[in-house]
Amino acid sequence: MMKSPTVFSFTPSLMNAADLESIFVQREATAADLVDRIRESVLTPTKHHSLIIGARGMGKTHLVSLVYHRVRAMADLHDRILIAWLREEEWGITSFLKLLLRILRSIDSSDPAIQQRIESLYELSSAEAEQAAMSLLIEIIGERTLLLITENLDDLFKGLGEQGQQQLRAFLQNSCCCTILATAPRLFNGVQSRTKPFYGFFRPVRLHELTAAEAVQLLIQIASLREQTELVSFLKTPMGKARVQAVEHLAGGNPRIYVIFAEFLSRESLEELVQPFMALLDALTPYYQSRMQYLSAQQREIVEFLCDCKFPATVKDIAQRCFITSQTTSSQLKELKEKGYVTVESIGRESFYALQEPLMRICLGMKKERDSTLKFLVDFLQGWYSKTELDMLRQQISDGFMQEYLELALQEINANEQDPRIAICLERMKECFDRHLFEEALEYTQKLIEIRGSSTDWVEQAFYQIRSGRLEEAFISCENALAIKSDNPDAWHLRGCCFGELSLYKEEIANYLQAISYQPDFYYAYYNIGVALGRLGDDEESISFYDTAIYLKPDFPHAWNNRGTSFARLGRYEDALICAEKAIEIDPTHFYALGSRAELLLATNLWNEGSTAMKDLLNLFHQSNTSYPDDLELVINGLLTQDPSQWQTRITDLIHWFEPFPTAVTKGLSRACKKLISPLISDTTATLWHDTWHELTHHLPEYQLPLRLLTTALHYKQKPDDPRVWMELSIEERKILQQALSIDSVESRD
Amino acid sequence: MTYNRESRTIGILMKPNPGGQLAANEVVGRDLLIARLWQVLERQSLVLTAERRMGKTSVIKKMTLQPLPDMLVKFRDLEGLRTPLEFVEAILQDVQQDLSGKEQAMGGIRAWLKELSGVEIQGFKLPKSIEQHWKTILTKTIEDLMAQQEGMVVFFWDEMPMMLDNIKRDLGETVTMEILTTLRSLRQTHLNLRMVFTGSIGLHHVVTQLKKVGAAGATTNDMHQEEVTPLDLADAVLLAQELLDGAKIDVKDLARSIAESVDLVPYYIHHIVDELQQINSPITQTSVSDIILDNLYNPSNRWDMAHYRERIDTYYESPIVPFTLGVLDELAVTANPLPLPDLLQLLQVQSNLQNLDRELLLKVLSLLQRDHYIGQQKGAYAFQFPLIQQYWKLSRGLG
Repeated sequence: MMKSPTVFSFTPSLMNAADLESIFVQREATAADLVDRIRESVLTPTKHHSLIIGARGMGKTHLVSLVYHRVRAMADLHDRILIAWLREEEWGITSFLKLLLRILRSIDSSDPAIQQRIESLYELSSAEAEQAAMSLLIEIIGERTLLLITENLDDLFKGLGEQGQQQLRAFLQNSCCCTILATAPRLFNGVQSRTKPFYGFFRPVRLHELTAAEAVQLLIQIASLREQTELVSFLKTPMGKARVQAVEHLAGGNPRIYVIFAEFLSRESLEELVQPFMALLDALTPYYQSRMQYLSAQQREIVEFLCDCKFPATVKDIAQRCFITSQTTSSQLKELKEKGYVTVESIGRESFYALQEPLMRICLGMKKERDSTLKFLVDFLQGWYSKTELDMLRQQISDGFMQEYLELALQEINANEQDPRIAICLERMKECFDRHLFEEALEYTQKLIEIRGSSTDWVEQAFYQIRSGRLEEAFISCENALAIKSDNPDAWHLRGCCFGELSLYKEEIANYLQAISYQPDFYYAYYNIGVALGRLGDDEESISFYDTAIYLKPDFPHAWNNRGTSFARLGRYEDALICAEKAIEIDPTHFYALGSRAELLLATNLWNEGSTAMKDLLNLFHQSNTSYPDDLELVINGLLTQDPSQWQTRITDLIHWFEPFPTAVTKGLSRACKKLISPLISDTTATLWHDTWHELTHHLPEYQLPLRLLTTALHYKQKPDDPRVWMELSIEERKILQQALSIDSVESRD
Repeated sequence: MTYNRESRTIGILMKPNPGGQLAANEVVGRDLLIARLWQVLERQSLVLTAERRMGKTSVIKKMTLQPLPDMLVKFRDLEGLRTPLEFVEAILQDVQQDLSGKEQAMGGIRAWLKELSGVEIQGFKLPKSIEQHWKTILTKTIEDLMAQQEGMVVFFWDEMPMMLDNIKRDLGETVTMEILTTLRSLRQTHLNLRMVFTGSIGLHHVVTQLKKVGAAGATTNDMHQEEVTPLDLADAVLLAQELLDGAKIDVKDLARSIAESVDLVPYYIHHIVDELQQINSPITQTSVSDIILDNLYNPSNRWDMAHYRERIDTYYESPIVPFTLGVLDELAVTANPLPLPDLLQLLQVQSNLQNLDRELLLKVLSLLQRDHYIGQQKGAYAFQFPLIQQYWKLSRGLG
């Protein structure tokens, strides 16, 4: 079969079946269903009537052409079907009679007798011709089924008027021999209004815009059809996909525009691109101008306003600038949306309207240009190239004319003028943050990325993803942020946080250091390094990073508190207490610092002061219905070194205070076993310690496990080489105690 | 007489076909109705009423395809006709097709027409010169037809009110009334002749408008009025299930959900399944309610629910429009049917409805029932279709 090198973007009905099939994307299920319904209509008494809905350029004629060829190819239908295809822009149908005549002419009849009879109709009066044409058509159809394909059904109905529509419907109901496949740019009154003859008669089949991936597929198929192997390869590259996305932005998913742009995609140099592109815009302008003719005057005004707008606009803005009421504006915008001229985006409670196809703005803008600044060219450059590419091109291009436009394009990108949607998104994000609604916030970060896609936007997204526990997605967001701006310290910092969530502390620290390299005063990064080092057990080093964080931000309570924690781990309790008190001074409600202070006071034998502090703190936890976040290892270790005569009272205090949170005590007690086996604690003391705890808690279910661990720890202290001491515990319990005591596992002899 | 009982064809794979033409075996759940209609037709003619897209045409087409024994049935959609002569031509065409073998009988008509017009009439297009004789031509045609028939003859005339409305607009009320009275006369003359009128606009509206201009006279009071109602639940669920099977959609309890959500109306059942078939995302129970809400409130969508409000302005006399709106507003917000006294009381306290009395209210209620807005059960009134009630309530801002 001879290949047709031309893809008819405006008249696909001129293409042959194979070519139509080869560039058909997305709609296979729809096409198959339509063909099935036509088959059923031909082979059974059932008759389907389908109406394909889609804005201009959306592929209606392509679909219809494809269905036509598929149906014609079905051998078992040959003798049972007759096809009449009324082509796009079938002008001059102003009555039912005219429609009948067009149908008769569209039927492929080579019978001279029938041709003669059709001709003889013109010699009759209208009324007679109508009757005769109907009879002739019925006769020609005979036992077959007529597949009537008609495009722009809305125009056809307008031409027919109500009378003609009634006659057509009556004909269809009386003859029962026809199935209709029609197209229209949108649902219109003639099929939608209950007072019209064809209300509910057709089943609408809506065509949707192509996604970027489908557009790539379409373009690859077109390039393959044209045997443009280089273009096929180019389209599979990231650059090629980026170009397709640029077309998507300009064309709003309109397949016709993709087809038109196919040949520009791989043009590398600006010189190669601009002149032909301007010629293309010139060629496209009549297409867009003709689309304006389908609108009412008021709708045109709204579209023209949106053409002049850089950013999407609200109903209020549009109403104001067009001197129309908001109610009328809303109503017109609904229709414009249905017709495929505008798109709407809701952010929070606001709705923003923009042109469905920015290319329309560019083309119509060309006609309005009065000064030397070719704004439309600036618009195109912004859409076609990324900021980085524009920067590079500006440095490479020597042509003064193009330099000027590249400069303008870059200026527009950097302009302070804000898309109003951005402010709304930022506002909503703040609200979500304040209310701890992190998942909801992600909705707005996603919007920002769609609108702006800056490195900062990706960082925001990563932040909320981490807070929502979506680590994998957060990693990707960080990567995306860094791909746009490799020296974004926030992106490095959050990347580090992701590693930290996975307990990969070395990697975590490396990322924080990278952040600091780009932003030396990034106090939070220093702080986080301190945290990571603490988890790695390097408290000395962590203190030095907390010191730097505090130096950069002296009123940083978290840094003070954590510094205190590190001191405490090093046994420097006085320094730890000073840090905790400093944190409280900065933020009197700092739970962790309050807890640290209370624990330190208790651990350092300032029991009365510590009791008050702890009781106040526990009251706060109780009121806020949260659990105590720490364990009391520090306090219990401290208690072990205090006067044993105080143990009864003090342990009783602890049990009593922590009755709602017994885990804090039981964990602490288990961990404190390590200190118990220290040579600094005598056997007698250890035994007394054990016995005191046993006496006070043996009846409490929560304490059974830690008591068993304590007993075994004591026995281990007394007979460290006797493996039988471990027999007191189950295998799992042995592991817990061994971990607490930091000793290697002991083989079970069971 | 014995009646055709359709055997239920469970398991046929039906594609959703909202608005299209159904084969006889795809018309689900109308056996009992059809049996009842045949019973009525045994004794009198019939006016079949219903909301648009309730399936009237599918019912009468099925009856046409499966008539009772020894019965001659003819179906014709009349909406394309605009003059009495065109009406007569259509009947002539229908009748001659059937009696084409009986040259002698139709030869009589042709001879008479030739005498009347002075020309040989071959086809069915009659010359304008004999237009004023349409009544006689019609009468004679029916006479000849009935003379050839031993059994019953039934004309199923779809969109009769539409034709009458067209004629009224073009030629006036008197001519329109003459058609109705001529048809009545034919019914009374020929005991085996039956007529079934159906239409998307209520015949009562046309008659009311004729009476307004003094074109009085009984026209259809010899005809039984029957309403095509939604399916019963079992049939509606069966229809939905068969369509879902045809569309290869398998979601538990979806068929029942669809059937109940659209008040068991077969057109809407087809429509919902058709839209479900076109959804790209996974289908759930929520998909159905989403589609319904979109069709109820999206002004660009297919159900044109705004028509229920607009129709009142179009067909109801201005003085009673406020009362009509008041009745519907009250019934929209009530969970239970309202008896007449309660409804009257609720309406009379409204400042713009104080002139409403019992008689006027009864008149309004009667009109609303005839237009299928409301129904009556045990003396209490409610919206006939919860879908319309839902739409009315929200579109009128009633909460």
